[in-house]
Amino acid sequence: MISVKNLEKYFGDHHVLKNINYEIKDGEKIVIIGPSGSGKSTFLRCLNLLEVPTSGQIFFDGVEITDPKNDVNKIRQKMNMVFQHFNLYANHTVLSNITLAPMKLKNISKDQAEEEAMNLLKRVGLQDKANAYPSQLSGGQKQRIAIVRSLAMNPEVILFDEPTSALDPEMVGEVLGVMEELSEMGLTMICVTHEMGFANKIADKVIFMDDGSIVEENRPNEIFSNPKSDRLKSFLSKIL
Amino acid sequence: MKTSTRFFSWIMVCFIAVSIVCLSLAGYEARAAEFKTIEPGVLTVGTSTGFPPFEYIGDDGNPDGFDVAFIKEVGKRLGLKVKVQDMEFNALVASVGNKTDVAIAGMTVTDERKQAVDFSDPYYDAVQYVLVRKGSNMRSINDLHGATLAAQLGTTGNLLADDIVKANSQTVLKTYDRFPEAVNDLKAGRVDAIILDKTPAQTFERIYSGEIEAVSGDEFGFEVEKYAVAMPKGSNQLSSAINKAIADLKNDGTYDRIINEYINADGGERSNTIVDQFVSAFITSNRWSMYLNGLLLTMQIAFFAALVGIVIGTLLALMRITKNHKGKNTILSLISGIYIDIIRGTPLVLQLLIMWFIIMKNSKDGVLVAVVAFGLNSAAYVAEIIRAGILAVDSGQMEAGRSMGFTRAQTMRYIVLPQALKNSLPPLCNEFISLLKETAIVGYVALSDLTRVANQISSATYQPFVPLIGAAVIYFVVIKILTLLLGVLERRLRRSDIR
Ligand SMILES: Nc1ncnc2c1ncn2[C@@H]1O[C@H](COP(=O)(O)OP(=O)(O)OP(=O)(O)O)[C@@H](O)[C@H]1O
Ligand SMILES: [Mg+2]
Repeated sequence: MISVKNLEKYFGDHHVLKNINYEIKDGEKIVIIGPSGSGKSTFLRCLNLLEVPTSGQIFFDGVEITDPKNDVNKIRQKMNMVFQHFNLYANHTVLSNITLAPMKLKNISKDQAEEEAMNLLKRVGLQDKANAYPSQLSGGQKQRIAIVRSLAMNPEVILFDEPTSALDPEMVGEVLGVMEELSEMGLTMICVTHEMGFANKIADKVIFMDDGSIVEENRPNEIFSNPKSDRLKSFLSKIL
Repeated sequence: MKTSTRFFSWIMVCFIAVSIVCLSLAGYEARAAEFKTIEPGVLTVGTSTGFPPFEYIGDDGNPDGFDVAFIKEVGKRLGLKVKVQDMEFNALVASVGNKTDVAIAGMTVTDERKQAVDFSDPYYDAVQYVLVRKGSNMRSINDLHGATLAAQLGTTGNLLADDIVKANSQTVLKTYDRFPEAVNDLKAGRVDAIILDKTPAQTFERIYSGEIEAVSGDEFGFEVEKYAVAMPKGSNQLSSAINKAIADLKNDGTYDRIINEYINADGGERSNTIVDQFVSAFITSNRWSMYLNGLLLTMQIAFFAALVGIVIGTLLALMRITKNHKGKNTILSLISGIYIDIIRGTPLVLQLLIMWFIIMKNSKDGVLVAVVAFGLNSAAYVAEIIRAGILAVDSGQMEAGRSMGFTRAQTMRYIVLPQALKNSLPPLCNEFISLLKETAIVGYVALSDLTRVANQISSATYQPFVPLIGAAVIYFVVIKILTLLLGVLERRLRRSDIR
């Protein structure tokens, strides 16, 4: 479903992604781990072109999204992103955060969009916050809303960039819970995280990145119990 | 990316369209049946009050005086309605033929003026006088050398004073828009002598008898001057009709009647106590309503200019901001940057005059011209405010919108701009407050705003104190109220701050 070929990314002289090649199948749950500055976020952001790759190709459902002729906005509707800092639209209520894109981009009627939004809110237990503004919510609530906002677009893929690392520890669980539920829905998920337990539980594949390259890639139990490279070994020894 | 370029081209088109509409709202010219006048059937006359008894603001708040009465009689003979426009004296000649049909303002025929306008046959012989403080012994041209002189900008007195300055470089010349201020400075010792026409000189002498005296220009060797009506160059039909009317008025006694009514009559009474001054500045002839109308005009101009400023300013800000996401200058950001630079790098009063005399020279609607000029000026400042407001919005907001599938333009419109405008609300209100004060220069385009009204009343009453202080108090109170409201607004915004 997503295939990455010879992806390179420079920030000025800084070589951040070095010849990345990777295939992601429909419905796969991928977790990306690696030390800080290794290029995890940049890789994720290249997948939906929030960062423009310096060279290389990315295909989504057979369409080359790195080709400027293709409308990136259409592709992003099917490949949403959930951010570390939530980025809820500050000037919209919770309900309007969720319904804005379906109404404006898919021409869904307000009534229908709101009905679907309320159903999604019920699933994450936040229906009573529908008319609150983002500033009135806790971090965990914000992140659950951000996930619901993505789901409302019925995407094929959701990219998560450290969705729990800006949260107080007691709120991490509620967000991971929602993500676990999601993982049972057949959606493709690509997730940068430091939550190894979560990775172990839901991931089909774990990618270990270091210094701009994919150093190791395998099923989670292989990665965690049988790391091959020294760099992964030392990384795991530091965080576990 | 394509749609965002299209959006910004659209902004560009809007910007140009708004400018064109503003500029061309003015562009029509009408014709009278017999004489080609600016408005059919109407003789639009420029004058400059503050030159009694030839022109001043009468008790009813409208221009009055010998010249005004005289030109109304002329208009009657021509079968035209007369509409008088009061403006700064030095704008009169340039206005003839585009803003006004003719000008009458105790204007002396000079060669320099003849290059710009034609003159009618003279209707009045004037001699320049010199006003000095009582007891001063200035009696010859040599006494004026090295002194501090005053004259009204663009008058014959100004020309004579220029010659004196040329002859003696120690001489200082101060020019005034209106005589009452000059007389005030003479009394205060800021100037030593004022050169002006005989009749107003005698009027001022009578009003301030005991403080100043008028000395005949003969003693200084000044020649007799001839007042005439200024007309557009080559306006043969109109000029021969006006000359005929002047001759008729002189022959049938109308001229003498006006002379007796205005020039040989006693001037206005001078009020002495502050209460008298207050009464004559605010209550006599319902003058308070002039301030009220002036204030309404001030508010009206500021309000509509602010609207123009916000619309165009937002477009300019969006054009400018393209630089930030492209990482380099774009055509749009360059255009907007240059526009903002030019507006901020030139005096507002010049922008207003350029709009009035050059860009919108066919418009007679001073309010429209002022709204356009102040609006375009304010837009430059609004653009910078809104740009700062946009940059203050967390970049994550744009990323969230984009990653959802919105275009840059849609994200701007639904998510970033609303937050930016909210951020910008307090500084925008401040901009409105300064705009309100800046409109005080619209007297240049013949509008009677609050400041101009205060000036007119100080000329009419010969007492600048109460009208000027009064107008300042009115401005202050209005602005204080606005500032208090702004404070309430800011507190509200902070309380409901949603970030
Ligand atoms: N916009 C940018 N401009 C310049 N350099 C950048 C930019 N974004 C990231 N980098 C650099 O690229 C490198 C990789 O950054 P990236 O954010 O992808 O790392 P990461 O693996 O997500 O790290 P972390 O775990 O800290 O989030 C870092 O050295 C970072 O400083
Ligand atoms: Mg990161």
